[in-house]
Amino acid sequence: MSQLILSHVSKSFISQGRPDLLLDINLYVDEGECLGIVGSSGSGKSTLLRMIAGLETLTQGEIFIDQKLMNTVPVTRRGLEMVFQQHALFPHMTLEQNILFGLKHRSLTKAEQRQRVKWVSKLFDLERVINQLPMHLSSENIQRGALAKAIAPQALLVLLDEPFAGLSGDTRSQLRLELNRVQRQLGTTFVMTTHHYQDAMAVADRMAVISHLSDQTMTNLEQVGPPLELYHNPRNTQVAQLIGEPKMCFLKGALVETNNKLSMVKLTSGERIAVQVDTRQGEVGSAITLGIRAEHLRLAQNPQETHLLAQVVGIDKFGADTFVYLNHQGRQLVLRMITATALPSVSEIPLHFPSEACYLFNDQGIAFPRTSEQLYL
Amino acid sequence: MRNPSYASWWQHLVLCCICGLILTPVILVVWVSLGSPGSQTGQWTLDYWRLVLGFAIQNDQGKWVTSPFPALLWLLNSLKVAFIYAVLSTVLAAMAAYGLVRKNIYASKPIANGLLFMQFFPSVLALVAVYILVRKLGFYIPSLGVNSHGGLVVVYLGGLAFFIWFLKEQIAGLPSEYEESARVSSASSWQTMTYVILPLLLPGLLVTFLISFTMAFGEFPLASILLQQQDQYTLAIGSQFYLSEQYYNWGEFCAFALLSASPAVILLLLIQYWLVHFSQTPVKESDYVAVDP
Repeated sequence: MSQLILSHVSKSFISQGRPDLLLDINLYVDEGECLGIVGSSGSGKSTLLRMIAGLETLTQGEIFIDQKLMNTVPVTRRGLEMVFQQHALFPHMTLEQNILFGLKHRSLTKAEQRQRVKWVSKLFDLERVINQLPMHLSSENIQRGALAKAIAPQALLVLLDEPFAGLSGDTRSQLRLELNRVQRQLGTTFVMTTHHYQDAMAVADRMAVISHLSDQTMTNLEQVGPPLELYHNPRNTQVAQLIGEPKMCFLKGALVETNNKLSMVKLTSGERIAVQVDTRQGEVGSAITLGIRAEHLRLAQNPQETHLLAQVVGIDKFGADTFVYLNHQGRQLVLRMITATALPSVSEIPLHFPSEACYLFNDQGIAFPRTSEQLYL
Repeated sequence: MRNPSYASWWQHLVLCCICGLILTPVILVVWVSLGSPGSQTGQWTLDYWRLVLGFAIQNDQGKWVTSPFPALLWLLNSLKVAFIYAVLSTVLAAMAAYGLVRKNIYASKPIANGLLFMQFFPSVLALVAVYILVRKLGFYIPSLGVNSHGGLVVVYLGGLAFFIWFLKEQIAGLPSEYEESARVSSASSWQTMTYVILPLLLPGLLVTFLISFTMAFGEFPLASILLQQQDQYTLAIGSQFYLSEQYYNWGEFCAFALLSASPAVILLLLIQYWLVHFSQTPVKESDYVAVDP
């Protein structure tokens, strides 16, 4: 149960021949909290985590763990544990030896060490495979073993670098549940990186989204907050795109009418759409980006409701939902339908943009505040 | 249909030819060491082996004689030099390679390349210089001077670059996460080295040990210059005395040759067992290419 503070942390280094920057990261992780750092591949998530662990130096800024400045404290004395994305287990040791290796250098007696191994193998259901070498384990059990190794010393702070890497579908969600349970049970502070927003949504109390700035070399902390807050009120287009699947669709247009509750937007293709956002900060006539998620877009029931017509490009039927991929003047839209039966057979379908479900971003990509009261229902 | 797992007849033929080429000299040496039985004058005899192993035999006049050459002592000398050299070169090369790969050393790449280029320079051409240097060294430290095994080992260690390069690749193939993971687990550098790095590097270290052992075991030019007393000789130098201008003692020479080959063969068999055993615990892609010295 450690508290972690990152204050104006920056890092610049050369990666693959071009300079790479992590810019001015400020983060606060409370005791017993689980923070999920979400970002696309190569955005610097791992570097951030390695800086907290002490495996990378900071170019600027300070890292505090429990109010103690950690910048010059070597990794061996930071008292934290880390799960590496790859090669987390030593290949020449059995799972038990691996877990014991993590315990050996803490001040524990032999009996306590054995007891910890027993406890953690029960916790992660690894009792049957505890004496096997990692190469004989399934990828699921390797990830479990890596988690067990990090949990066993009962460190106050555990860093997890892509803990669900290489897992898919059912095993992934199963392990998410387990990790969540363990974290609640122990009250350990977790900092986890992932490039799947669902992992962070499922496990984390709060999410931090980092992404590359437009020139592709600088990484910026975009937004920190509870998962649903980020889903409903993304601060900008980057966050909006990183959270949600399929990705949020964007249409270009201009602001026609500013208002503190309901604003009017005119798309470049001419259609007018009302959006429940506060646009008092915006100017009439300025360029905007309208965002809509697949789960909010609707098939228009009658001509009055129709905002625009879009061509069907493809249909994915997954049973529970059906995703219709649409094209509107070169921009892709995705429509999620619960039942496939309601699918029209025509190639062009009318769409309705519910005013409470749309997102609106200004010409800088910054979101206007949403005003709908139904948001959190 | 042809069974794909079997080689075709011409492949067998080629392999048989190669085997013949390799095995004929060995068989010939064994045959001669046993007195060339079946040839015009030869009879089946173990006398040559007895002489080489230091036993007395009865000569034509019925007198008991022993070999004038201390073959077993030479064998012991060779084993000693080769073993000390192999241990030192493995340890030093591992440390140098680890430093070059993992530590942030200024100009580590030019240093590594420089080492490799130095290796291309034929060491025989430096014989005179080496001799003078070792003699000078001997003035200060007699146990490392001319006519000492210590001096010979020091000179051999000059050829370490090859092993540094070999181990450099091995270490570079070792994911650095293992070391970082050990550090996060609060293991000291020493514990990380002994529990994590060395076990994972074991196949590479064994190969280094074996190659350096065999290289030192059979080395001739440097040893022949630096060792001048009969009781200091290694096998390679000693062997020439069986074939003097007055007297070619082929039988004894062949028995001696077989005796001197045996330690390296035994070592190879032992290490091969360990290599096979250990390359099953993979260090990423543990493809150990056999390198000819």
